[in-house]
Amino acid sequence: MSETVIKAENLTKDYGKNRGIFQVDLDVKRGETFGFIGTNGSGKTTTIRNMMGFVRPDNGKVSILDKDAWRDATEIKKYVSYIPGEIAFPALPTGTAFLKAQADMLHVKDFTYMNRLLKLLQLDPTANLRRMSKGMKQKTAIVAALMGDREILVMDEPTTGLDPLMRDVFLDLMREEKERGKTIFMSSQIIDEMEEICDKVAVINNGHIIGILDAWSYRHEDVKNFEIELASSGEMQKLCEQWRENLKVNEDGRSCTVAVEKKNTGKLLAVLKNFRIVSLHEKHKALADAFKELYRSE
Amino acid sequence: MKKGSNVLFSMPLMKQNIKSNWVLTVVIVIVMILMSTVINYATSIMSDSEGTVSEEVQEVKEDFYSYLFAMAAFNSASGAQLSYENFRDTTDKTVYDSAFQMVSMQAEENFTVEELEDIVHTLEAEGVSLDNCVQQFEYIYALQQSKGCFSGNDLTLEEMMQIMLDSMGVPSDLIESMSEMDTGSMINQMYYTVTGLLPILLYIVIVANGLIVNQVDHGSMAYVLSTPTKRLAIVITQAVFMIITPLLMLGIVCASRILSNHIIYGDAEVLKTVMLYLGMYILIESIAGICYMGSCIFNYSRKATAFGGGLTVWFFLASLLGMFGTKDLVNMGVGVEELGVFNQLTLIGLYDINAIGTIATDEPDDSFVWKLAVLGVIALVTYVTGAVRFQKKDLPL
Repeated sequence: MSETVIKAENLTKDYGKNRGIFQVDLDVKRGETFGFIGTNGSGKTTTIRNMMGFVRPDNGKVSILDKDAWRDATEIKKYVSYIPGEIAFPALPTGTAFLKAQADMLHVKDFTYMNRLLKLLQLDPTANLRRMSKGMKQKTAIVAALMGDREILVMDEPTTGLDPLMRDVFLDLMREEKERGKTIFMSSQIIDEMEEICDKVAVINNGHIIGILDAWSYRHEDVKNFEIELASSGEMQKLCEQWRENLKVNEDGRSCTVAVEKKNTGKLLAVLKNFRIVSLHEKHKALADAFKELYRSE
Repeated sequence: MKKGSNVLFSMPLMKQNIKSNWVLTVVIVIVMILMSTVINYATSIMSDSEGTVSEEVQEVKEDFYSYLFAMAAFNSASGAQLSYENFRDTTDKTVYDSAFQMVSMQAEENFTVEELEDIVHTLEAEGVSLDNCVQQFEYIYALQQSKGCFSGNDLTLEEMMQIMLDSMGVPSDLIESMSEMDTGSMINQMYYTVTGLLPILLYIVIVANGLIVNQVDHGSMAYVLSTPTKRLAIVITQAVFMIITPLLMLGIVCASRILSNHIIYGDAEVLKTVMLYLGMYILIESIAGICYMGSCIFNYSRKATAFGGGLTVWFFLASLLGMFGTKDLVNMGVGVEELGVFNQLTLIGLYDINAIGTIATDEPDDSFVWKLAVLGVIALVTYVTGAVRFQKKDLPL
C-alpha cells in the first residue's frame, strides 16, 4: 500500500473532566482524502491542533511525513496548508493586505494559483477585512491557506459559512486537488460532503475514535436502493408481479423499496415506464446510516 | 533572508506589526510632543513671572538704594526735600546735581544725576517697581535710626516681617521653603514621572497585548504559525518591535524637547535632556518587558491585560501618589512627606530624575546609574522569560 503521510499513534491530550482526546490512532495515506467527523466538542479541533504542533500531546504522538508534529512543527509547515476552524484575521485593513502578508510568509512568489482560487471562489479581496461576511471570510481563509499549494491540506471545517453553490465549488476544487495527488485531511459536521469526496471517514466521539468508515465503497456500491411510490395500491400489486427480485412493499401498499444491482438499473426503469409514478428516488444515505449506527452503539 | 523557514526573525510579521500599529504610534508621538512642548513653555513662563531677579538687576537695585540713601542723608543734613518722586517729575536737575556733589565729597563716592537716570532706566526696563523700592527703603531707613526700646538691639526689617507673619499664623519656615521652592523642578518631576509617561505607558500596554496574546486569543496567530515561521522567530520579531518602537518614539520626543529648549531658553541642554529620555526609555522597557511577558504567558487577552495593564496602572498611580511626597510638593504645602513611600513601590521610582538632572553640573550624582541598571535587568529577565515560555506552551489555535 502507499506511503503514510499523517500518522497519529496513541495520541492523548487530556484537558481534564473527560475533555480532550484519548488514544487516537489515525493513518492517512498519500493521495487520500480523509474525513474527520464528530459532534461539537468531540475532539476534532484538538486532534488538528496536535497535528499542527500548536499543542504538545500528553501521550503518544502525531507525525507528518515521519516528522514529529510538535518538535518539527516549522519544518512540517513547508509541506502543509492549514485552514483554521475559527476565522480570525490579523489587524490588517483589507483582504488583499492579508493575502499579501500571507504570501510573504509562505514565500509565494507566483500568484497565478492564488488568482485562480480567487476567481473560482468569486472572491473580491479588496474588501475591508473586518466588515466581510462570514462566507467571504471563509473564502479568504481558504485562499490564504491554499495559495501555498502544499502537498498536504489540513482543514478544520472548511465549508462552514459557504452557501450551497460555493460549497459545491469548493468540493470540486478538492476533487481537483486530489487528482493532482494531494493528501487531504478535513474535518466536518456535514456527512453529505464527506460522502461526496472522502475516501475514508474517521468518526470521533468524546475524544475517542469510534470507527473508521470506508466512504469510497459506500459511494461506489454495487447495489442501488430505490424508493418508489405509485399512484395506487393496485398498480403496486401489478408491479410486484412484473418485478420480483428484492422488492419490499411498505405498509401503505402504494410504495416499496427495490434493491437492484447497478447493471440492472436500466431494466427496472424500463419496467417502471408503464406505471404512474408519484415519486422515485435513490436511497443514498449509507454513510449517514453507518455513522448513526456507530453513535447508537456507543 | 534564508529561504524556506524564518528561524530568528520574520520580516513579513514585522511588516504586519508596522501596518497594524503605525496609526497608534504616530498619535502617541504627537500627543507626547505636544505635551512636552507645552509644559516646557509653561515652565519658562512660570519662572519668568516668579520674579527671580538676576544678580545684575540686584546690583543695580542696590545702587539705587545708595542714591536713595544719599538723598535721605542730604535731606537730614540740610533740611531739603529731595526725593525720587521729585527727581522723576522735575526737569531741572541742578538741585540734585549739587546735592550729589556734596554727598560724593563726604562719602568719597561718585554720585551723579546721569548715573541715577541710567539706573532708573535699567530698573524700569527690567520691570522692577521703583515705588516699591522707595517704600521699602523708607522702612529700612526708619528702622536703622532706632533701636529696640527694651532690648536696645538693632531692629531689622527681616525680623519685623517674621514676627508679623508669625502673629498672622503663617509658619515662617513655610515662607522660607517657599522661597527655596523650585517650580521648574516640580513641573519636571510631574512631567517625567507622571504625565509624560502616561501616553507611552498606554501605548506599550496596548501594543504588548496586540503583538502576541490578542493574536493567540482571537486565533489569528494560526495564520502565522501555519507558515514555516518558528515560534522563536515570532517572539524575537515581536520583542524587537517592542524594543525599537519606544526607542524611536522617545527619540523623536527627545529631539523635539531639545529643539523647544533651544527656542524657549536658547540653551538646548542636550546632555541632560538626552539622559532624561534615555532613562525614561529604560524605564519604559522594563514595564514593556513585564507586559510582553504577560502577553507571552497567558492565552487569554483579558488575563494578560489584567497582569500587564494592572501592574502598569499601579506603577503609574504609585508614582502619582509618590509625587506628593517629593520635596518640592511638600515645600509647596500640597504634599505630605509620608507619601514618598509610594516611590519605593513603583518601578518609576527607580527613574531618578533629580540625580539625572545633576549630570551636567559640577557635582554629578551618579546614583541613577544603578537604579537604571536594575530596570535594565528587569527588562532583560522579563523579555527572556516571556520568549522561552511562549515556545513551550500549548496554543489554542
